[in-house]
Amino acid sequence: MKRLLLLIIGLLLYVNGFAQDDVITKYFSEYEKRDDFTTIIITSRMFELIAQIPESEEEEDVMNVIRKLNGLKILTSSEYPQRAELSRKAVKIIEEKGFEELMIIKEGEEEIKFLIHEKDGHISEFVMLISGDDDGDFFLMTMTGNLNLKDISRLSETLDIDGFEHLDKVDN
Amino acid sequence: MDYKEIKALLEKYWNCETSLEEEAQLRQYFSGEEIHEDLKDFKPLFQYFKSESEISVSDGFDEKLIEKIKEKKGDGKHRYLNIYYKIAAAVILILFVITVDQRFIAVKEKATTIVQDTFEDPEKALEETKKALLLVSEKLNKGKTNIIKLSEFNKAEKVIRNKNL
Repeated sequence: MKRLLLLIIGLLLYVNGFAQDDVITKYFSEYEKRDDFTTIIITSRMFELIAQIPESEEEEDVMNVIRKLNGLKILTSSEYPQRAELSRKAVKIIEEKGFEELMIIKEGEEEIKFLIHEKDGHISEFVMLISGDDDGDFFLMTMTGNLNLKDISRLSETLDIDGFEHLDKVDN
Repeated sequence: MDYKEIKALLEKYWNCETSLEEEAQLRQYFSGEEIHEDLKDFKPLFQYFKSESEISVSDGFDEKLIEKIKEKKGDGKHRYLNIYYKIAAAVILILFVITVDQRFIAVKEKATTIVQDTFEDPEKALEETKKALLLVSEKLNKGKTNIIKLSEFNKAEKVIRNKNL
């Protein structure tokens, strides 16, 4: 009987393990469906496919980071009327869910926040939130996987970053 | 009873054709003293039948037996424990099924509505991922040069809030 109980508990935990989601899926799914928001979703399945693409040499650094990603999700809007309010709400929600603020950068009206969620000593989810007033863009990005910020920050040193001002301005 | 009669009866007996009365006659004959020489070999067999049939249970056997059965039933501790275990197992199983079911429903819904790749082409997805990573990288590095350390920022924020209040 004890063994059976342990087995059932184990199974429950195992099923629990499936329910791993990023913050956008968990708390911002209502906005994903709206017309005035743009969503970019790259799932773990897609990352598996990406890993099969033959890489060129100069891309080794970026591929090393990508290989450790499980999911990438971007939620952005330049049309939603209460963007500033939404930004504040987003920060509040994310921080309440055990995320730590890593860094805040202010550029005029624009504020960039980096938040991380640590699990077993490594970063399991990384969130970047760009917010401004109601005239600025709302930009929320989350990455899940085994993330290493050093590797990510090194990317801009090795690669030309011109033209990547804002992702939401890049055509899909 | 004479020899011939018994012999005929025996013959019937071996053919399983004797009636109960005839068998009783046989047993009586073999329990008697005068047994024909030819039939002496069968004496122990019929005596055995007779003695066995006389064995009976002692007085009050039925009562004792019923009492014992009742005693067993009354001592139901083990049975009850078993029932509790069964109930517990059933509850856990139901909870488990519900949990699994809900999770699978949730996963299913997500699969149809939300978790859908924006890109179908891995190359495009790779490009977009690169852009995203580079954006993060760029902003992180910008932060390095112009960083507002979080602790300091929080202090400043508190001061500002206090002033505003």
